[in-house]
Amino acid sequence: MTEASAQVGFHQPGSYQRHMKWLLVVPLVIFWVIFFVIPVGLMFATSFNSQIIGQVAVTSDLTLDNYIRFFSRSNYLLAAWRSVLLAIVVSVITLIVAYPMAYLIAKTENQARNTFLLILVLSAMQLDMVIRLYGMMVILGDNGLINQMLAGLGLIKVDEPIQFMYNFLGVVLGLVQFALPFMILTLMGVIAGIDPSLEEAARSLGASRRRAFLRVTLPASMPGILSGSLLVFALSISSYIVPALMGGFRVGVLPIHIFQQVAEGARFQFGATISVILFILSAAAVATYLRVGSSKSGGLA
Amino acid sequence: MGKKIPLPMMILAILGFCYMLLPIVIVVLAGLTAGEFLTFPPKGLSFRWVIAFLQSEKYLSSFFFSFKLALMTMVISTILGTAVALFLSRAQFVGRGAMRAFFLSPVVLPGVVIGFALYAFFISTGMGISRTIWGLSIGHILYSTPYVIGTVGAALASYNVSLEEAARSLGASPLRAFRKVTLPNIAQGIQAGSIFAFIVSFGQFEVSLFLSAPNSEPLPIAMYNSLRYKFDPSAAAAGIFAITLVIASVLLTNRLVNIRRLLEKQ
Amino acid sequence: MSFVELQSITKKFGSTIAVDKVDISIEKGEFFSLLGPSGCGKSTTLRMLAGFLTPSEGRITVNKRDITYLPPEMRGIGIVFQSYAIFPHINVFGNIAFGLVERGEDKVTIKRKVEAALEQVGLTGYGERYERELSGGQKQRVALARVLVIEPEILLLDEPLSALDKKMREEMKFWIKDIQKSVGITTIYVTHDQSEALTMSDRIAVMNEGRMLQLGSPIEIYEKPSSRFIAEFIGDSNLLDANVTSLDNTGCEVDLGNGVTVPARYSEHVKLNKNDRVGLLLRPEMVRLNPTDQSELPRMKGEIADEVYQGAIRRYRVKTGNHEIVVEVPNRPELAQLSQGDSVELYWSTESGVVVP
Repeated sequence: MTEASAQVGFHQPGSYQRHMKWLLVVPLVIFWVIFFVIPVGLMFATSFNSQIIGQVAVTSDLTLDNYIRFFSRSNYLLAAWRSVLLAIVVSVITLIVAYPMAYLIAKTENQARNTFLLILVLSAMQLDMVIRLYGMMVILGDNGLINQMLAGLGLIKVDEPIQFMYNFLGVVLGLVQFALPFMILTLMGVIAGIDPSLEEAARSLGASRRRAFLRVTLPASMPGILSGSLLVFALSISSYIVPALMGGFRVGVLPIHIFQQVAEGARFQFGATISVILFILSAAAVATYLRVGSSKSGGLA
Repeated sequence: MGKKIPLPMMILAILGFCYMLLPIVIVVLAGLTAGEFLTFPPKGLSFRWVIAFLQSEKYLSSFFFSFKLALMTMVISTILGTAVALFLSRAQFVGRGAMRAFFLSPVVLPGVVIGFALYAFFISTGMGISRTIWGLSIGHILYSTPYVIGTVGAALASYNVSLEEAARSLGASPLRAFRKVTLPNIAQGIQAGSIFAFIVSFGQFEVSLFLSAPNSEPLPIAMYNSLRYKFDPSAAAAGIFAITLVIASVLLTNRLVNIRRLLEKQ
Repeated sequence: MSFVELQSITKKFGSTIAVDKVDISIEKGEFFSLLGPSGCGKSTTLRMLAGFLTPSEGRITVNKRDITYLPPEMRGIGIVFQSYAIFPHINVFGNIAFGLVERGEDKVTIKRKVEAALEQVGLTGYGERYERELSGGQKQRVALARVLVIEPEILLLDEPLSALDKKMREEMKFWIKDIQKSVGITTIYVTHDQSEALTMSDRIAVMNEGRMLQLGSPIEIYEKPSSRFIAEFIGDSNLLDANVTSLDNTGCEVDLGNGVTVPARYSEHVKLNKNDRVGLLLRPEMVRLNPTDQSELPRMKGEIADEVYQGAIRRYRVKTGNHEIVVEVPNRPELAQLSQGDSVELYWSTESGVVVP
C-alpha cells in the first residue's frame, strides 16, 4: 500500500486543517530562530568587528582584522591544524575500535543479549563526559592505576611514570572514549542492514571467512564507515572538556582558545572569530555527513 | 546460533567494551574506596565518600540544581519536540528534509560555540538571563529537543496511520481521533523522548560552560571545577548517583520503546 | 440516478495522474469490486470515497447527496482496512463501541449493540481481548463488526483478505459474502486478486494505470474481456495472434495462419474491422484434446510438448505449427493419458474463442 501511505499528507480537503498543521511547528521555529539562528548570526557579525576588550555588542565598523590575525599567527594556525589532525586521528582509531563492537551487536541474534549490549552503549553515551573522564584520569594519570601497577611490577620507577595524559595521546584516548558510542550506533545500523546471504554467497563461491568479510561485508558497510567517521570528526573537533582535562590545557585546540579568549581575556570579537572558524569546520563535516547519511545510515544523531 | 562471530573479532569487540566501560567502573570503585584515593590494589570498600557527598554543600546543591534544570528542559523540549515530530510525519512539502536537519543540527555543532553565542546574545540584548537557570535551560533545550524529535518521530513512523483513519470514518473529529487513538499509541515514544531530553540535559557540559555561574552550577561543571585541582573521591561518589540515574533511565526507555528498533531505523 | 455515483473522478498527485476520469454507478445492495494490479488507482478511488482524499476533479454522490468534500466522519461510510487497524490500546468491546460512542449513544444501547455485533460475527465472549490476542481471521471479524455496528450506508473493503493465509482466505471469502447478503449493505471491494473478485462480486470494474477499462458482471469480464490486458490479468489464458477475415454483428471468423480459420465471438464494447490484427483468447479449460464426439470437428492439430501434473488437473503444452496452446484437462482416469510427443487434435466450441483487440 505504498500508494496509500504516501498520500496521507493530502488527507484533508483544502480547508483550514492543512494550515492548522503548521501551528505545530511554529513554536519551535520561533525558539530556534531567537536562540539559535540569531545568536549564531550575531556571533558571525561580532567576528567582523574590531577587537575591543570587554565590548560585547555588535557595532557597525566592519573589519577583517580578526581573521587576518588568526591566519597570520602561527599559534592559532597551529591550533586549527592540531584540531583537524586530532579529529582525523580520533575518527580513524574510533572506527577501528568500534567496528568489531558494532559487528558483535549487529550479529547477536539473541534478543536479550543484543538489548543488553545496546543498553551498555546507550548508557555510556548518555553518561556525563566529566564522569567518564574522571575514570580515565584515575586509570591513566601519573599516579594512576596503570603506572601504579607497572611500578608494582618493577617495570618502571615510581618517580618516572609513563606520561599517558596531559599530551596529545591523552586527548586522543579521551576523545575515543567520548566518540565510541556514536560510531558504534552508526555502524551497527548499516552492518545489521547487510543481507547475510551476501556473505554466505561469497563463502559458497570459495572465499574463506576472512576473504568473504574483506571482499563483501566490509565494502558493504562503507556508507556507515563514512558517515560514522564524519560524525566523530564533527564531535571531536568540537570538544572542550576532553582537551581541557586529558590535555591539561597543554594541547591547545580551537575550543580551548575560544574559552581563553572570552572567559579569561574578555576578547569577544576574536573569540567569535575562532568560533566561526570552528563552527564552519564542524558544519562542513556535518553537511557531508548528511549527504552521505541520506543514502543510508543508522544512529540517533 | 553456533559460532557466527569469528574469534578475533570477538576478542577485539570485548576489548572495545572494556575500554568503553572501564572508566565508568573505576568511578564507581573510586567513589566506594576506603582510602584517600583509588589505588591498585584497592584498599577496601566504604561509604565514607558517599556520605561526604551527601553532606557536601557544593556537590549536593549542584546535583539538585542539575536535576531541576533537566526537568525544566525536559518539559519544554518534550512539548516543542513532539509537536514538530507530528508535523514532520504528517506534512509533505519540498524542504521537509532540510527543516528536519535544521532542527536536529545543534546536536552535532560545537557546544562551546553555541554556548558562547548564547552568552554574548544574552548580555548584548540585556535579557537578564545570562547566568541563570533560564539561560542554561535555553542552551540545553537546543541539545535535548532533537532527541525528542528523533524518538517521537520513530514512534510515529511505526504507527499505522490507518488507525487514525479508522477512527475518523467511525465518526471521530480530527482532534478526537488524535486524542483517542493516535496519542495513546505514541505515548510511550513521547515518554522515552522526554527521558532522553532529561538525561542529555543532566549530563550537558559544553553548553553550560559559558552559561553557568558559581551560584548556578550544574553537576558536570562543579565536578569539572574540582577535578582541575585534585581527585576528590566525593566527586566520584556524586558520579555514582549520576551513573545510577543514567542506567535507570536507559532501562526505563527500553521498557517503553524497543531501543533496538529505535536505533536501527532512523 | 444510482445509489453511489462517481462522476468523472480524477486524482492528481503533482504531475502524476493516479485516477483518470473514472465514472462508476453502483446500485443499492450491490457487491461491487474494483479490480486491478497494484498502482492502478483502485485504492486511491476507495480513499476518495472514504473521504481521506479529495478528488482533483469530479463529484461523488451517495443517495443523491454530494459528499465530495465532506470529511470522513460525516460520511456514514464504513471501511475495513487491509491492516484491519484494530485499535491496539483498547479491547475488542471498546473497538466495536468506538463509533457508537462518537455518535453519543447511551451505555445500555452500546452494550446491547456491541453484544449483538459480536454474535453476528461469531465472536461472542471475545469482548475483553486485545488486538495482540487475536488471530488474523478474528481481527478481520472485529474490523467488520466495528463497521457494521454503526450501520453505514456503504461498506468499503480494502484488500481485506491479503493478510491471511490461503486456507483462511477461502473461508473468509464466503463468510464476508454471506454477511453482506444478510445485511444487504452496498459494498465496494478493492482487490488485486481476480479470483476473489470473480467469486464475490455482482459487478466488477477492472482498472489499470488510473483508468477504468471494463465494467461488467464476473461472467462478462471473464468470458468477454474487452482488451488483451484484461484477458491476461484475469484467469489463465492463451492469446493467439490472429487476423479478422470476416465479421457480422453476432460473431466473426479469424485466420490463425497455416490455413486455419475458426469462428469466434467478441465483446459488444469492442469495435472490430476486417483485417484487424487481433488476439484470439482461449481459456485453457475450454479446449478439449482428441474429442470423442463426432460432431466436434477438430479446429487444429498439434503435438504434446510437455505435461505438468497438478493434482486436480493435468496441464499440457501443445505445439501447433505456429502457436503454443496450454490445455487443462480434468484428472479423470477415463480420459486417455497423453505423453510427450503424442499427436493430438484440439477442439473448442464457437463460444469459447473470444477476439480481443
